Amino acid sequence: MTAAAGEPGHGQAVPLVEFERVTKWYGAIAALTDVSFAVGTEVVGLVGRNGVGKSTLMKLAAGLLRPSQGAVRVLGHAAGSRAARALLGFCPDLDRLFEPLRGREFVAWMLRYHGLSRRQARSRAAEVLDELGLGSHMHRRIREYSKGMRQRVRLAQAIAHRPRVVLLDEPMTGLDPLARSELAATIVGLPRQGVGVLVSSHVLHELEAIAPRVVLVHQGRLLAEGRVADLRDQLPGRPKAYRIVAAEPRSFAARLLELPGVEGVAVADAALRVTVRDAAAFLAAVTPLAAVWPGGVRELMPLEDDLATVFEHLVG
Amino acid sequence: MTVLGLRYRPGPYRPVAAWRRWWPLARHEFLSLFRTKGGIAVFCVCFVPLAVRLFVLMIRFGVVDFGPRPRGQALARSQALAQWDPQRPDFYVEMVVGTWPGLPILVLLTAMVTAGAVARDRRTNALELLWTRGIGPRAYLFAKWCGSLLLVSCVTVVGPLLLWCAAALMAEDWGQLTGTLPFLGPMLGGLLLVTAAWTGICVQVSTLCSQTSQAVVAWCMLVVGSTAIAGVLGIVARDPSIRTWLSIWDAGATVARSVAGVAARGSPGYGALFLAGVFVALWCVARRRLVLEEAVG
Repeated sequence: MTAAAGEPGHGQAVPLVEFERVTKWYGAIAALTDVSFAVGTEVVGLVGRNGVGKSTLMKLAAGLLRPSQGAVRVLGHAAGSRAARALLGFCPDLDRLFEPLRGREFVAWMLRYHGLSRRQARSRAAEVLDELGLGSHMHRRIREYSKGMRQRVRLAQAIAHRPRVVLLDEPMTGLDPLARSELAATIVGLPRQGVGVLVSSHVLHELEAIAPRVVLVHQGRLLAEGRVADLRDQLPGRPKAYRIVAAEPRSFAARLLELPGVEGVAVADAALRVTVRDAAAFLAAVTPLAAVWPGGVRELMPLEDDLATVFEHLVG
Repeated sequence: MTVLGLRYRPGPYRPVAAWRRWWPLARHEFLSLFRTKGGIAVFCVCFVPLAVRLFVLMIRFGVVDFGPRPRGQALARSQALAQWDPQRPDFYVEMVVGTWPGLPILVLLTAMVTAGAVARDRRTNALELLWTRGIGPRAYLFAKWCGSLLLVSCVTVVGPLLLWCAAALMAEDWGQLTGTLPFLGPMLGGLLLVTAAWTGICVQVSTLCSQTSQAVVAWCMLVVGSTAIAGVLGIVARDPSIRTWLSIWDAGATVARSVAGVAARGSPGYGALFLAGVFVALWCVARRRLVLEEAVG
């Protein structure tokens, strides 16, 4: 990972969040073992089953836990230091917030810890809540909020103080589809403003939509890291599948079997499902064939290229 | 919802002074009672003894007249009201440290606010949010205690002060003011001291509990239970002073009375020692519960 975006004060570019050979034990149990990765000005998805150490990674970055070995840095500052805490926003997976408070009151209260005056905090809280679509509800008490509104308040308190790094722990939980897409749009927009986002989620297809890069954690170890498509291409020993819709599919299937790297072709309705061993060789060969095929090739798209497939293959 | 585009700009790191980190939490704790109608009602109920004493003052200084002059004079001279002499510190101190109504009021107020202070945050995992704001466990506890102390002091310190002001204003001459001024400072100081001790112990109890209800029950048992047991033992042993070093309530009351110059049943030294011992013992256990790693579950 070479993304560089932060200036910790001496002009040298460093990753926004950096995990360097981090190991974390809870007593005799190793929650994380030798984990290293970095987050730049991007959205990075943290993927893994329950209990593999996702929340531990989040808490390490937030400074809530200290690594048993290794180091975690936020813009060059040790995680947990005052400077690091001031530069990051954390959105924990809380069941309840401060229920008796009003939305604006809560966000303003959180802002006060960053040195804003009461007036500045109230103004900024209103601004952020308005941007997150809670402008007309900011004066209601949090206990009256729906699940989606609570999630937005959680996000608002995490970004209101304009942090360089935002840590989002399961931000999509309990949201309806519309709210999910709106929240996703918000998260995707953050890197454009120079903010790094580390987001964990169990909803893999949504995580894939917002996080171009993912970090797969399994049994406390870093299993894979990179773009989903790259990870899929690098899966060892797993054939890749393509769906092709072409005129005269049976004849086209026969021609496909002659191409290098093709393992098999299945005809289903009007579409072909092609299994290939060497994707690069196949694509190099099929492109000229498709260009001259009588009647044309209408569709050629990879199958099982999503995060869920990669995750299932690596972890399952 | 708009994508955070135009108005969002990551900010630089600006150091924040320590008091600006814990004061919002203390203020939040102070205001927590006033966020519900029930809380406001409880706060008002806590001032009933003050209202009663104000009424007594009005009778004594003739602000309230009950009809025929001989009857009003008889009431002013009655033995019951003579014991409530605004020239003496007892009149102000007993409102707070008298077992009735002082103990129920302290229990009610602290159970509503202080006992749940930390347990509530622990149950909702709100501690995580606060730790990421640059506030550490010690500052967190200090802020919680500070907020509770401010709130409880409104009743235990500001109440007697208001009563003293009212007495000085109602009196026909300067005698009331000059006669009571010498003990005003020690009296308020003593009340503030024991309020600080009681709320400090209550915050520690809250730190040890995982749920608000658990904390409330533990605190009530500690205060009321120790007072009851000490009372019974005092009767059995025929030594009332035993209560000073067995009951949190009586220990505090003895210290406050002693500092204010009121005759106390036990030794204030023992009382202070007992309160300090309980506080330190609870602190030793409680501080382990607030180590960052354990606080986040």
